[in-house]
Amino acid sequence: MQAQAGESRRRGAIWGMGALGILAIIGIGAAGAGTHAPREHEIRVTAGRYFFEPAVIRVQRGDTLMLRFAATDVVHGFYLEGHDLDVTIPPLSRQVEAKRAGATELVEEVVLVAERSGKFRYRCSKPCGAMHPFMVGELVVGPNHLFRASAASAIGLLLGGLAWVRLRSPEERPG
Amino acid sequence: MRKSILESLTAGAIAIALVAAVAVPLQVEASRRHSRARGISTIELTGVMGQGVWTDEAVTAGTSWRRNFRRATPVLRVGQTTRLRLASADVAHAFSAPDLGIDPIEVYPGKTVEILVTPREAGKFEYYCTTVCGEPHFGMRGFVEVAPSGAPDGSPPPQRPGANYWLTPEPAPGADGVARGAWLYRQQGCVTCHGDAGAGGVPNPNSMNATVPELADLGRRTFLFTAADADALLAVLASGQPLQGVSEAPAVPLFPVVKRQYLATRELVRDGRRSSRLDVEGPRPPLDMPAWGARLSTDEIDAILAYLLTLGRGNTATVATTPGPHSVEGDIP
Amino acid sequence: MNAPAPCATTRTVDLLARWPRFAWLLRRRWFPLVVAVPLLVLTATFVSAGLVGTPVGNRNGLVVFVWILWWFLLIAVLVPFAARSWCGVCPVPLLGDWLQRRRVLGVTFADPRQGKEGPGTQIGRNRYRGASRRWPRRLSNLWLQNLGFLLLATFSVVLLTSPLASALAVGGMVAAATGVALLYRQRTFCRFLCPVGGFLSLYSMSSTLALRARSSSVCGDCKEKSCLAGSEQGWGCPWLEYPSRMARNNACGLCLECVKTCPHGNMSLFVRPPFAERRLEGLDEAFKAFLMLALAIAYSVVYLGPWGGLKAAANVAEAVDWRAFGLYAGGLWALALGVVPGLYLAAAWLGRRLARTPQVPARAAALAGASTLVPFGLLVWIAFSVPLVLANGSYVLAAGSDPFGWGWNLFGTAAIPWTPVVPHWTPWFQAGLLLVGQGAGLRAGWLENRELYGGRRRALLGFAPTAVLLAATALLLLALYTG
Repeated sequence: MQAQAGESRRRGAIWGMGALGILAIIGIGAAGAGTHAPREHEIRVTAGRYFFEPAVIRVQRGDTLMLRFAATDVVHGFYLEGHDLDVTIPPLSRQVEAKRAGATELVEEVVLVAERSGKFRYRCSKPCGAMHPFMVGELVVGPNHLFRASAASAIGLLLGGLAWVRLRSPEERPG
Repeated sequence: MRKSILESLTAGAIAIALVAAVAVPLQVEASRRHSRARGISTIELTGVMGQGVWTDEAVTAGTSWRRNFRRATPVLRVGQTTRLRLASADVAHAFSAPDLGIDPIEVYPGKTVEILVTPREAGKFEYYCTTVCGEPHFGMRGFVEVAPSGAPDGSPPPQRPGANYWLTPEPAPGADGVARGAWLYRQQGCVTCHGDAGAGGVPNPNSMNATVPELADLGRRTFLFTAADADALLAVLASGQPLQGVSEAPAVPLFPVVKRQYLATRELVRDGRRSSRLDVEGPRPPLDMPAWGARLSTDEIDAILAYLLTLGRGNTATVATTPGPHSVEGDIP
Repeated sequence: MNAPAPCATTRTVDLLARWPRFAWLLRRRWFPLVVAVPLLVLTATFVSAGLVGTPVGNRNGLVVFVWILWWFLLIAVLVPFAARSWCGVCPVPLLGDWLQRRRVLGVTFADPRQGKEGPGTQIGRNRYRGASRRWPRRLSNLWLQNLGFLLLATFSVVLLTSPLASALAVGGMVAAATGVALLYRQRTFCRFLCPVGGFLSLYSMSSTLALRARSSSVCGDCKEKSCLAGSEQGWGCPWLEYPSRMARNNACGLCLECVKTCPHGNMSLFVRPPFAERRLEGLDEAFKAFLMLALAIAYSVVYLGPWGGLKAAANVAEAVDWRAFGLYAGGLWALALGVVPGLYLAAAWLGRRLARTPQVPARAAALAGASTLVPFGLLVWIAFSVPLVLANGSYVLAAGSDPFGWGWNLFGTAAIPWTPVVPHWTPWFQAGLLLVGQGAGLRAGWLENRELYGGRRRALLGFAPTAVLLAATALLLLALYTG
C-alpha cells in the first residue's frame, strides 16, 4: 500500500517535471515573438581572405537588409544559406554580380528581407585560396527559437536528469 | 602447393595493381596531352597569384609553394592556330590580350579554359590579368610574341614600370602623409599603370585615350598652380575637418573650384571608372580605374593625392625604385 | 558494466548466429582483405594526386576524399555502428603486415612442439619476420597517440587544405606503420602509435557493434587458445589482445583473425544498444576524452566560426605569420592540456569533496567524471562534421570524376558546381546531436559515479559538478552552432 502510494507520487512528480519542462521550452521560445516594427539595415559587407566583415549580422525577423559589398584582395563570393542569393564580389569594384531566382545581374546593392528566423551562414562561393571552404559569416535572425529551445533543453536535461535520479533510483547500490 | 600458388598470384596481382594505381593515371594524362598537342600546338598557362604571373611551367600540388615560376612569353606563328589552355593555381584570374583580339576570359581554379588564337600579324602583344587577384595583380602582365617563323627574335619586350611593386618597404610609422602616399602609390600598384612619378604613357588598347592618364599634372588640373597653393590645400585637409564641410579657406586661391575638383578626384579614386571603348566593336580595354574605396580608407586616398599634388618638388621621401628582394627571372623590370 | 560479457546478455543480438552466410564470409582468409586492398590501391592513386595533381585543395581528390568523405563516414557512420571496423580495412598497415608475415593471404603455422627453428620469431603458433620486439610497457597506452593527434591538430589547417601536406601525412603514416611493423610485433603501430586509432579506441566504446566470445565456458575448456596463439586457420590476435577475455571495444581492430582461428566458432559479432561501454581504465583514456573535446571545440571555433583572424593565424603555410601561429598553437595547447582537463578534473575533485568520501580514490573519481565525455565527445564530433559534408559534399562528386584536377570526367560529374545541400538545416542537426550526446553523457557519468560512490545521495553530490560542467559545455557549443 505504502509502496504503491510512493510509486504514484514518484510518477506524478515525473509527469509534473515533464510538463514544467515543456512549458519552459515553449515559454522561452514564445517570448520575444511579439510584434516589433521592422527596421532597415544598411550593411557594407567586406570580404577578404578568409573573413567577412561584419562576421555576425544580427537582425529581427521582418527586417530589411540593404547589402553593399566590397572585396579587398581577390574575387570572393557571398552565398547566403537558406536564401536564394549568391553574389560574386570582384575586388576594387562597386558593382557585384548577384544571382537570384536563376538570373544574374550587375548591381551595387542587394536588398533582402529576413523572412525566416534562425541562423543562416554566409559562405564564400568563389575559390579564394586554401581556407576558402571555411570562409564563413553568420546572419542571425531573431527571435532565435532553435537556440532558445535547445539551450532550455540542455538545462532541462541536467535538471530533469538529476530529478529523475533523485526520484527513481533506489538509495543503495543495486545488489 | 595450391595455397602457395594462390599466395603468389595474389601478391603479384596486388603489386601490379599498386604500380598501376600510380602509373596508369600518369600515363593516361600524358597520352591525353600528347594527342592534344599533335593536332594544334598547345600552350598551357597557369595563373599564380603569389607572384602575379601567368606561367607556362607546370604548377602542381608538389610545386605550388615555389615563388619563382617563369613568366610566360608564348611564341606564336603568324597565320598558325595555337591553343591556349588557361588554368588557375589558386584564385580567380582572367586572361586578356586585346591586341590579339582576346577579350577577358575568367579562369577559376579547377576549371581549365581553352581558346584558339590565330595571329594575323607579327609583333609583341601584351597580355593582362583583368580580375584583381591579390596584391601582385597589377603586375600580372606579359607579352605574347608572334613571329613569322615561329622562333622568337631575341629582342626584349617593352618595359613596364613598377616591377615587384607590392614588395616596396613600408615607411616608418612616423612618416608624414606625403611619404605614406608615395609608398601607397607604389605598393598598391598605381605605378604599374600611371607610371613612375605619374608619368603615364602605359598603353591601354582600345581605350579613349590610348594610354593611361598621366598624373604628374594633377596639381594643375585641381587648379593648384603653385607649390604654395598645394601646400595650403594639404594644410586644410590635415586640419581634421572633412573637406565637404569646409566652406572657405582663404589660403587657397579659387578654393570652391579647387574643393570641387579635389572631391571629384577623390571620388574617382574611391569609386573607380570603367574605361570606355574607343571602337565599340573592338576589344575591351584591359585597364580600368579600380574602385580603391573597397580597400583604402579616405585618409589613405588623401595621402596618395597629397603625394601626387606635390610631385616634382623633391620633398617626397625617397621610395625604393629598385626591385624588392624577390626579383623574378624574366620579369618585366 | 561493459556489455556483452563472454556470456551473451539479454540485450545483444548475435549477428553471426542470425546470419550464417555472414559468418561464412567473415571466416574467409580473403575477408576483409578484399575491401582493404582496393582501399590501398585507391590510396596510392590519391597520394599521387596529392603530389602531382592540382594544387587547388577543393579540386584535389586526396583532400576531398580523405577530409570530407572518409572523415564523415568514419565519425558518423563507422564508429557509432561498426566500432573500429575501419581498422579492419585500413590500407596503412597492410604493407607492414605482409612484410611481417611474409604472406598476403595465408598463415605461417609453426607448431612449437616441433622445435623453434626457422627464420623469424615464433609468437604462439605463428612465425613472423622482422624483429618482433615488444613495445615498452610504459608506452603501451594512449599517451603517444594523444601527443601525436595534438601535433597533427596544431597543423590541421595546413593538413586539410594542402594536397601536398595530406600526401606527405598519408605517405608518412604508411612508411611509419611499415617501419614499426619490421621492428615490433604485429599491429603495434595501430595499437599504440596511430593517431586515428587513438580516438577510435575511445569512441568505439559507444558503438553498437562488439566482437566478443559467445560462451566463457567454451573458452574455459578450450585447449588450443587459438585466438591468442594462432593456428593454421589464422594469426594470433595482431592487436595484442586475448580475444576470449576481451570485454571492451577499445583495442579490437575487427581484423577478424580470431573469428577465423577459433576452433569452436566461439567468437561472434554482437549488436547492442549504443553507449554500452562506460568504464575508462586509465588517465591516458581520460586525457584522450579531454583532448578530443577540446579539439572539437577549437575546430568548431576555427573552422565553423566566423572569426577570420583565427583562421588566418592557423593558416601558417599560406600566411607564414609564425607569431600569430604561435599564439594560436599556444592557445590550442592550453585549451587541450590545461583548460578542459583542468575544468573536468576540478569538477570531479569538487564532487568528491561535496560527497565527503575521502575513501573514494581521486583517480577513480576523475575517470568516472571523464566517462561523460565519451558519448558526448563522439556526438560533438559528428555535429562538427555535419556542415563539412552538407556544405562541401558536392566537391566529392566533382573530384570523383577528376581526382587529379587535370580536366578528366570519368563519371560525368566533374562539372558539378559547388552545391550546398540544405545547409540551413545544419544548426538543427547539430542541436539534436548535441542534446543526445549530453543525455548519453549524463547517463554514462551517473552510472559510473553510482558504482563508484555506492550511495545515491553521495553519487549525486559527486556527480553534480561534472553534470553542471557538461551542461555548460553543451550550452557553449549550442551557442556556437545555433546561437
